[in-house]
Amino acid sequence: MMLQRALPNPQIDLPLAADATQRFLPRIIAFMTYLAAIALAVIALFSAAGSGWRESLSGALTVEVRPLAADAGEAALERRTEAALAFLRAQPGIARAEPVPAERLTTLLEPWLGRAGGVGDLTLPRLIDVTRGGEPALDATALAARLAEAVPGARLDDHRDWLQRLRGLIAVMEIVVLGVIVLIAAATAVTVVFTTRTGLAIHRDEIELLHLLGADDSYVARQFARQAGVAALLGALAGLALAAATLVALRLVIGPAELAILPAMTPTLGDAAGVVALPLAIVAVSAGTAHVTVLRTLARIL
Amino acid sequence: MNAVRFSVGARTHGGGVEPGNDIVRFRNVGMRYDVGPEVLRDVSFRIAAGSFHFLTGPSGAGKSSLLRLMYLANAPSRGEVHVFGRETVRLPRREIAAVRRRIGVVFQDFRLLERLSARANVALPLRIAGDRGSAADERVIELIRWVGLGEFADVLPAQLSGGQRQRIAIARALITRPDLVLADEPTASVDDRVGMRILHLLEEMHRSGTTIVVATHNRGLISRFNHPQIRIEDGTLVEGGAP
Repeated sequence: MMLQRALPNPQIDLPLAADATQRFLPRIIAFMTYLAAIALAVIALFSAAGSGWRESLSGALTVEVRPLAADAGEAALERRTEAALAFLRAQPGIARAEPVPAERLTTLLEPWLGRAGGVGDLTLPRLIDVTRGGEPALDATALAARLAEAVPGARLDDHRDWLQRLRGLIAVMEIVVLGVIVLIAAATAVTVVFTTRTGLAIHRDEIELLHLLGADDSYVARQFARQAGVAALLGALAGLALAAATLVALRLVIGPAELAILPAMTPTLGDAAGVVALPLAIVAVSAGTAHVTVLRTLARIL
Repeated sequence: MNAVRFSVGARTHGGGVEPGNDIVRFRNVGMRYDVGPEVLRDVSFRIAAGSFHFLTGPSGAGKSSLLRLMYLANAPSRGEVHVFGRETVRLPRREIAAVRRRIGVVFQDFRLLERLSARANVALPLRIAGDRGSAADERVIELIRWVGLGEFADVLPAQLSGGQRQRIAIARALITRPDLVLADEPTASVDDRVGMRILHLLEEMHRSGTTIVVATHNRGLISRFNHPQIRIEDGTLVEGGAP
């Protein structure tokens, strides 16, 4: 309300700010803004996660060398792993091929097998990290076939299927969240329509007087639009502040292990533009909706 | 009350009607509210630009309805109403507002906006016309002084007496220097002394060329002025107004 008093008040003849519905509007808009801001944060997170995973995996391949029944203990598995490494390092289009250390394998499996020694009794497959690089470009399918032939039990995974599915999932999630934002915008517009129509009913006599003094419908509509815009700005700023507080609290609550699976979220210029654009968009939707509602309603009832 | 002279020279709008031409013309006008009975029947008359008319008749005769047709608050259910040479029912919505801006109306119940000061109420037609700035402010103050309420410019209508509210309503009707002023029982809520002052204010506006129509049933006040009358009884014109 302080902001409302501080804003210039060039042309307000109708006491709209005193209406009960107008006092209620900033709270509704704050709630809508809060939901929209959280939804936008989710989209930004998905988008960053998708990009991060794509960037980190697009140049990478993994070779798995599985234990075979014919292997005479760990030594045979190690020999086949060495053979796979030698094969890979000899291929054009491969910049680097390194075995994943056994300790790292154990760490990766700890969440499923536990820390207390269960892993030690098992013969684990060996993994090789492969990085693409150099010319000619690597044909992963052909390489997989040659590798399987050269080293029994060796299988090349270029992550393409997994990335494809991830990309599809992220796209679906983004569409769902965008749909939620559209619904939030629609709900905000409906609320403004309701509030505006109530205001028109409350101030019917005063609006008739303005008309009789020569005001056209736009003059009246501008008053409602300005009031809706101010209410929307107040609500949007409050909702945005609440959303920011929620995201900061989430960041503090989520543990480092959960954070490790997510890419680093460094705010970009686009994120900053989104933060500025959200309240502006809400103000524009609210003021525009109020303006159109007044014009349509007056054309019908007066 | 008239110690301060209000300049009523140039009007804020163009397209004025030449003196002597019809500023209002009714032809066989009938009017009803919704599906009710006709409150006006076969009313025909003319009002020339620059004239001063009293619209008289007993309470309930149809004076206010007739004025409402003139300031385009209602449309006739039959017949033709011409204001400033335009048939009102044919006016597009946007032009109705432009025509209304050329008419100053003094409502019987004042119709001041209670939240606004006397000054802001008087300035309202100027704001609607988009006429702002210091010159407009000065004109508002000048007019409030002209109606004798200079010291009440910043008070709310609720703090004014009936007569004072009526004078603020008159000031609001005159602030844009309209071509036509319609006053609906402007003396109804004041005593004869204040009523005479109000009519003298309107008389002064008339002398500057403004067309004035005053609806009143106060025959005592009417008799002190030598202006033509349009008399209406039971929704029918019975006297005056050159058809």
